[in-house]
Amino acid sequence: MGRVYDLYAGQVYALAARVTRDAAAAEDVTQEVFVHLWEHPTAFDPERGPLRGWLVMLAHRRAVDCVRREEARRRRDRISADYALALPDIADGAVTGVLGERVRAALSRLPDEQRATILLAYFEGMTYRETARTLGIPEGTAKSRMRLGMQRLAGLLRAEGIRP
Amino acid sequence: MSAPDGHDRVGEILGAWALDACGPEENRLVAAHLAECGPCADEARLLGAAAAEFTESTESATGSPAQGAQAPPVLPASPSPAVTAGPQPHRLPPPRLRATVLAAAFARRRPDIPAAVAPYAAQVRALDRLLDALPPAGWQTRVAVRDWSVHDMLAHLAALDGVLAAHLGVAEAMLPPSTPDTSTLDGLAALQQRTAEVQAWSRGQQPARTRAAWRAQAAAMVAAVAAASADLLATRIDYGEARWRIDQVLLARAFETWIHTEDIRGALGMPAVPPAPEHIDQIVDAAMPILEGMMAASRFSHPDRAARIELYGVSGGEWTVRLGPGLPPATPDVTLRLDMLEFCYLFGGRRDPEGIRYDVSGDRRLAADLLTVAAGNPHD
Repeated sequence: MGRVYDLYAGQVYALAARVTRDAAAAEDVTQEVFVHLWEHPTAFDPERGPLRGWLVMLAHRRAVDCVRREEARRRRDRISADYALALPDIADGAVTGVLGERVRAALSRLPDEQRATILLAYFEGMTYRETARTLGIPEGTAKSRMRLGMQRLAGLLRAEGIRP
Repeated sequence: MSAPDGHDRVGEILGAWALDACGPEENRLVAAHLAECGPCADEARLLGAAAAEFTESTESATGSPAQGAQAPPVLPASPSPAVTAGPQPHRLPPPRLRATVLAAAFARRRPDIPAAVAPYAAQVRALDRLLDALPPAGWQTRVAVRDWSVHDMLAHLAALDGVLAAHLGVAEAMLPPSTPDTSTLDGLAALQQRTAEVQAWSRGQQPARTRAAWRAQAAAMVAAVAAASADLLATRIDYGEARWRIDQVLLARAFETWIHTEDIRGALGMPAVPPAPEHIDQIVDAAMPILEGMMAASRFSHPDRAARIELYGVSGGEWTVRLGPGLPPATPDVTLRLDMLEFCYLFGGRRDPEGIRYDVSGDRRLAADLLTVAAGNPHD
């Protein structure tokens, strides 16, 4: 357990910190992820991918849950247009600190509009509905940009020799 | 709930799903569909694996340690509007976190409790801990339900747990045998009769004996579920006014144990302690079909109408609830937003529908009827 923590805590924490923008929440997420692994050792299925990916996925889901809980409290007081100020960019140090170099390169080769939906969803923890509102596009468009963008990204990563 | 055209609907949200950008209902839809559709499952795996690469991969990025803090090479700025403001926490976990996390993990026993029964097991533990702290005189404290004492309340819980226990093959060894003349009673009356029997028995007993009987039965139920097959958990049984799957009844028991524990805390002047968010999620998931059934059977039934219920707070999610028989519309006729705990307290009969705060868009009359029916959940 200690070894798994030493290997992956850095990535789990960095991602949680980026999505939640809150050190205490990131610590909570990190703790939840590793305690979950300890308590549910059989939930991780090595057939379906490496441990790192599973932990990262879990960390992202928890971080997003955390953001949405916060958001739900604040949403009514806040105009969604505020989000427009917070569009993440891959040149943003906070994002690039988390993104691996080759993934960053692959992301930069996506059309801007696909990249924008992906970054808002993944790093801001937005739902596709919130993403659509933020970008002023229909929900169906947000959904299809996310799917096309992720398909293309998976293809680019595969071409780079990265697993998916 | 999954329509025959689920394939197209799931396909179009797979990208959002891989980015954790769907609502809970859509996540369930995707999960159900992936279990039966090979091509979608393959795409989901591919997109999910791509999303997992968004963090630095120590396995593929040569020589870049997980905690590498060196400045990344600057990319040409993209034309999209920059740049995130706001406070950024440090990206390295504080060194003390390692000991905290390992201690938290080792403090937990690796559980053998399946998810279906985890909320119930947790609520039983919570009530048991509360009873630990109860002074002997506390057992006669009146709770705000039917002028029952704490002791009566525990007997009530043991009685209704026992209805489910029988279906799990758990003998109610310490409790009085049930007089099984339920054929002439409707479901609700049968539950009330069982409560009356166990309460009559318990009043002649020391509270400690009632508590031991309740706890032993609960532990045996949890063990029985752990050993049970998925088929057994999906079996429908008579419980209250309708037939429900055993796993749904387990969540109804968790819910009732929670609400009555709060009743006892309230009587003792103690603050409420809600269940873990993931347990509340499970409980609400089980409550929504029950609410649909209650709507369909009530005089407030609205055929061919549906409501969306958005809950937020300790946890959250969106549920679509049919308001009566017939075909639900493609889009709900009304959307209600309210606090998840408030919804639970309402459904547990602990809030007035008139007193509850909620936002509504759409047909207000439907919303008011839905809350009225939800609050009328026949519940002691």
